[in-house]
Amino acid sequence: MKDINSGKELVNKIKSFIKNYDFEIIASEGKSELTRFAESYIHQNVAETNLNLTVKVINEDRIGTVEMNSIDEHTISKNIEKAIEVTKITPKLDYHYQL
Amino acid sequence: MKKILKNILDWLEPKVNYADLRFVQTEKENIEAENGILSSYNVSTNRGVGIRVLADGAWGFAASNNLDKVSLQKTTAKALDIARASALAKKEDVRLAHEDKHIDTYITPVTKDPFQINPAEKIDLLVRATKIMLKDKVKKSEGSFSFYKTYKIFVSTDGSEIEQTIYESGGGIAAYAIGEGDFQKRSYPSSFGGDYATRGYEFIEEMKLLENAERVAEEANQLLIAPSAPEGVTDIVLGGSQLALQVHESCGHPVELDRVLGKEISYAGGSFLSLDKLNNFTYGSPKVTIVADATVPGGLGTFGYDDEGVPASKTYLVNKGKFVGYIMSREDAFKLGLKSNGASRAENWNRIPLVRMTNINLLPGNLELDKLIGDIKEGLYLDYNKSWSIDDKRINFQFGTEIAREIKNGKLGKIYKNAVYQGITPEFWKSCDGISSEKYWHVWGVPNCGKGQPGQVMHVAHGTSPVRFRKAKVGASK
Repeated sequence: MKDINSGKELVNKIKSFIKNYDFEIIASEGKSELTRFAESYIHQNVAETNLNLTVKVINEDRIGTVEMNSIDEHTISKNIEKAIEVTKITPKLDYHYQL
Repeated sequence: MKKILKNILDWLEPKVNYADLRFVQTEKENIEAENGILSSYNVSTNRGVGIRVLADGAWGFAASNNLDKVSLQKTTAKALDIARASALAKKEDVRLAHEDKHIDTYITPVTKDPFQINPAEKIDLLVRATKIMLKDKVKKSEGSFSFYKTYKIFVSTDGSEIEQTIYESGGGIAAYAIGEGDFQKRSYPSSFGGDYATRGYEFIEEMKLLENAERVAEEANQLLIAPSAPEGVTDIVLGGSQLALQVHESCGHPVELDRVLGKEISYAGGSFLSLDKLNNFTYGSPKVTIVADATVPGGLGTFGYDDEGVPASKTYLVNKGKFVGYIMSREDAFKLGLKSNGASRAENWNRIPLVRMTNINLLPGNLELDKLIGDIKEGLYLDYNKSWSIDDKRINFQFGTEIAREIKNGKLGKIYKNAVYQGITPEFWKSCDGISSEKYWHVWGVPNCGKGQPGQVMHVAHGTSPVRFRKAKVGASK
């Protein structure tokens, strides 16, 4: 994800897999760097790029949640399939989950 | 993926002293139940590549979840840039202990792949177990399972190419009795999430959660009305689960060589087992032999190779009471003129390997449990960790347990609550005068060992059987 447009593309991609269910996604992407010193020298110096995508599929007050850090079509479709399966085994919420 | 990693390695090789690349892909399933109801079911997948480079005598590390060619090229260049920048503030050139080239595959042997078991079956087991525990004053019960399947590819400029698939399964249950202005918790098979192993779903079945749920609840109820543990100096027996924590905190951490060398002093701390003590210090009584053994079947710290491509091994840390070894990375082992014993591991692709415990095991003795207890006139049997506190050198400690039993004239008696015991690590281990036999020995999985910045949670284990300590300081937490 580079900008809001790629975020929208991601939403549309997910929508195409989820089809008839309501859903909620939370996507975040970040870069971090950290340098550690011990006895006044650098002993660890690290950098990371990562993203996190949480998809909640809502099926008649049952929720299936899956998390992933890749947004290629294969990973998304496989995980959404799993989220839909999860909605079939989780208990009904005792409140209406309204989006 | 291996071909892509090897192409990167080929590009890096002429520019570096050493480099390794790790692709890691993890599937995780987590199930939680509370009071007979499923409270959470989550599945996640995670993957990425970590690139570690030793250039100009200094380390650089960069990692990315993005596996396309351009992104991996950028990540590789970043790792190289970081190494070169780090070299500007190096103390001396980093050098690595020699390691042979390994081309190998390792897969955790499992009888039942946990990811092939119907989720409904796992949920049903937890829901039923947490329902059984809701008895009398037990107003809250909980249980959880976690399953992991981790696939790793490791390649290095040493020529190693290693593929590993590690399965991990674990979980447990707990009952909370509430009343009398107090609450008391009992866990099974161990506290803080239960027990874990590099095994399949058969490990969960062997726990026999349904068969133990009622007893666990009953003990929580008994604790609520039990007196607090007495204060004083007395003989104690530590059960295997509590002893796992004792070994973890007072032996596992202080033998980490990076701590000894001061690298973790700003966060995790140091160690009282300084270099001058190696082969020259009495850590415990002659009964005490502790090993780091990453080859124990099923141990949560069992694997084929560590994250530096060093094969799993068994190392003596304490031999008949004498302090004889550290757990090491290749970099730290070189400083001692030794070979790494394969204890450098990273939590995931996005973390640099650190010195981490494997299975740090207290070897069993030869006593029957009734003999161990039978030789105590007056004392306490303590088990299942409830709290821990230990200083940054790992020498002064106080640990609390969920449950204590009176020992009187060699027999177990009434239950006490809120028991704690204190000690000074070498003095405490020197007071050990009996260890129960292999019959009682179990490798307890600890899935929550924290270390490093950025933080890394490592899965480790401790093989223990109940142990007797003479004249320990005991009391009760308020």
